[in-house]
Amino acid sequence: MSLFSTLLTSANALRVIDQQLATTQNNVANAGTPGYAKQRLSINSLPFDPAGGLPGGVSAGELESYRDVYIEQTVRRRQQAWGAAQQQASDLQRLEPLFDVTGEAGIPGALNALLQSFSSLSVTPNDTVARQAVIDRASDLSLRFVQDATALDSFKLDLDDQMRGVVDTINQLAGDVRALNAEVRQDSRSGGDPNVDAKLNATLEELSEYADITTLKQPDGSVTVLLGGQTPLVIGDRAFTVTADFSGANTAIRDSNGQDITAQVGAGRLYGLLQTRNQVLPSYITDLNRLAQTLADRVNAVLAGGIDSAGNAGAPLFAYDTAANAAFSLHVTGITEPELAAALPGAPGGNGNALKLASLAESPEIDGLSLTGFYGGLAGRVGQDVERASGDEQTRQQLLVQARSLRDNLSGVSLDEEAANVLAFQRAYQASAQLVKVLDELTEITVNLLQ
Amino acid sequence: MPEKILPLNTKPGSVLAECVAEARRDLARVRRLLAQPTSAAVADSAVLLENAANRLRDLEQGLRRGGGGRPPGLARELGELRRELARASEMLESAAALYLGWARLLFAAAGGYTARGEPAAPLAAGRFSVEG
Repeated sequence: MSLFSTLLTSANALRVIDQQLATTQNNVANAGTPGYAKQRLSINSLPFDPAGGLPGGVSAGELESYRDVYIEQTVRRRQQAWGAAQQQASDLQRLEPLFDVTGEAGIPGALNALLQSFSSLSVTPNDTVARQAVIDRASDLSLRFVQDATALDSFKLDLDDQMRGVVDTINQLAGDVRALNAEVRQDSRSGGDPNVDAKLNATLEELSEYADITTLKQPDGSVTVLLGGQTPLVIGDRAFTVTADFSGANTAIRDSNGQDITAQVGAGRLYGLLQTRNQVLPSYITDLNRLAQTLADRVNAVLAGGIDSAGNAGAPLFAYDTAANAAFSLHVTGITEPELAAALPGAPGGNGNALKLASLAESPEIDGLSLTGFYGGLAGRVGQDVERASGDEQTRQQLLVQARSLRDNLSGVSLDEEAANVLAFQRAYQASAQLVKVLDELTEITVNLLQ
Repeated sequence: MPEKILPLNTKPGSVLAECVAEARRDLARVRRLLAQPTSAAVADSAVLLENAANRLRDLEQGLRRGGGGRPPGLARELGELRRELARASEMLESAAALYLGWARLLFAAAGGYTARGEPAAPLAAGRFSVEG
């Protein structure tokens, strides 16, 4: 077969690809979608007549193109999922040390110390040292709340800084794609440049780490990039910048027209940051505020029901600005040691009210839990979130490695080998999938046997 | 070949936990194998999965017979095993999804579509070669 006839085959194949581009893109984009109503791909074989210089079928060359598009998109999707998981895992890991689970340090340590001081007060209600200790421990605890709430708020700002960096990177990479698109358009007139194509793929893969992008190859060879499948980032030789808006309670992402597109961001580092910044972190802060508010209200309510050393109605120990920022603003009032209401009305000098304060250690105060129990639940939830995020990151990373490995394995394989591989995989898969099912059932049975 | 597993009903309790840990390590090997999801890797995974299943079957029998006791670490090991099984399963399903997507394109492009709109299965075709 002459070189000329081979080139002729390629040229014919390219023409078929051009004509079928729209159909192919749909098929490739939806190849992984179960139940997708597939469109017919009408590719015809070319005549085979070696003597007459007709080299035969074109399907292998076309399939390689489809395969490349399919596998590149798969790798990009995996990259997006890993980017989001990696971002969340690293941010939550930095957050975790703020939540002590030993009960000896941080808020739980200070809370236990306050509850212990209530207990001591109930033993010696008129001892000035014990009375002052209550005020001192309350002050320590307030300080702890303010410190941790402030640290969480600073973390928000840190996430915003990271978000700014990620958005800048997205815009810069979109600019790179725009420039490469211009080159591709230029090259397509002279038959295309594999180096430019490789650069374009590498840039799109990098961009996938940061954002949830969809790509559409255009007839002129350029790539249209959409954020969240809807918002244009690049069309031909035009790039559209996105911005992060930090003016509201939640950070928002806006398109080049200023429209809020936050909900469209569903993967990549940007998604990971938005999730932590707008969902996870606020839920921790809300719980911390609830704990601070409940603690202050309950202690103050008990004190209000008692009398101080002079027989006056009990003064409040804690104060805060509003429920929404109770942890940020918790502080001890100007109460003095003699004003602490350890006794009950009708029993001056007694320990009736101090016993009530001491009972706060065990009584259910929030969501059916004691104050320390509620904090333990919050710290436990943070720990679980970190563990889940770390596990998710590892899995996503392995899935990305898997897709990249498949990309390497698929390149340069003939159509016949490819079909044989798929069938061989299918057979092997069936056996393994069945064994996974058996293992799942056996694990379930074993766990039940232990209960 | 699957490794031969000895009966556990006469072994001390700590061996039960070690048995689960071994099964978990088998699953971790499966997960690593499936990072390169060739059909050969999946076939090798089946051997490891069978190993793990045999270990668990043996453990189940040991527990039913009341042999070996119930060491405190066993529940934790089973939790780890569950997580590892979920990861291995996800790797396997993900590899299948990759092949399935590609197979749809491959078969459709090679054989068109059936009347029901599914990609046609590839047909074995005769071929000849010309030398000279």
